[in-house]
Amino acid sequence: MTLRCDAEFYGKLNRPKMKITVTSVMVNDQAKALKFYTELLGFQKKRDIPLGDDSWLTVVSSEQPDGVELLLEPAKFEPSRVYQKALFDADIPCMIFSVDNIQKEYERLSGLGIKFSMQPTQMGIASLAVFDDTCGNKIQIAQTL
Amino acid sequence: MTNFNQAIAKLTGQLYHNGNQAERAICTRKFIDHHFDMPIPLDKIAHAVHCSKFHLNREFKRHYGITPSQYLKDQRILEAKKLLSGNSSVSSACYTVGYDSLSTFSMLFRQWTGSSPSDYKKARMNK
Repeated sequence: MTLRCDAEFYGKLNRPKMKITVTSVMVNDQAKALKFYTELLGFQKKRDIPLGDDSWLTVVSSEQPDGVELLLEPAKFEPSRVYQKALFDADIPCMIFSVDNIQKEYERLSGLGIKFSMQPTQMGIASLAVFDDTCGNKIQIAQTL
Repeated sequence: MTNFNQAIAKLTGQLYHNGNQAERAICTRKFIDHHFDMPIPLDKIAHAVHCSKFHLNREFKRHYGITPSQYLKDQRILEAKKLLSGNSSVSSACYTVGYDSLSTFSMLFRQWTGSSPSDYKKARMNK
């Protein structure tokens, strides 16, 4: 069977509408990650559903409580840990959060002891900075100018 | 300097060596942010930043990925969603965000959010 990928064909299909409701970040310790993402970054815990040794643990932006949930996903699958470490070692952020004022956020987070591998840097119409989430990831914050 | 920092610096040098163009796009965005509830005369903004409206249109799209008119529409619908989540009626939200036609507003709102303004308001009230 040949997969059709032309827009005209798909436009005729009565497809259900899909929404992006959850995305995830791998973390090496859920409890530590929850503390970091809520107490330091300011997200709110949305769901905590026990699943065996771990939980379906999500946080949301306090600005958008009905927005996309971020799943703090235990990094237990070995290949995922290899991938996570490779990104971390190369200082490549695995997630981007938007902020209203990057300089203010940089100063606030630095004051809380969070380590930045990139200070606020303008790139065209955006200003970017990268920090260590202490859970195995580099996170980028960005302000659209 | 990390690999990522070097990559960002290299890209910035390649893509944004002319800082004036980025500044022009940023000024236009800020203008729209502050005046989205009024008619936005793109040719006047272009005149103020010393370029043609066609050039400004291209530059804005190159930097933000959408045209100024798309950005304006996005800002208006975002604001309308906020208003409809509060006490505003559909018609009040429509006129407050700068549309003078309810049917245009409803059509654009539906395209953007997937539901009509009144359905959106009902759903928010039932939450």
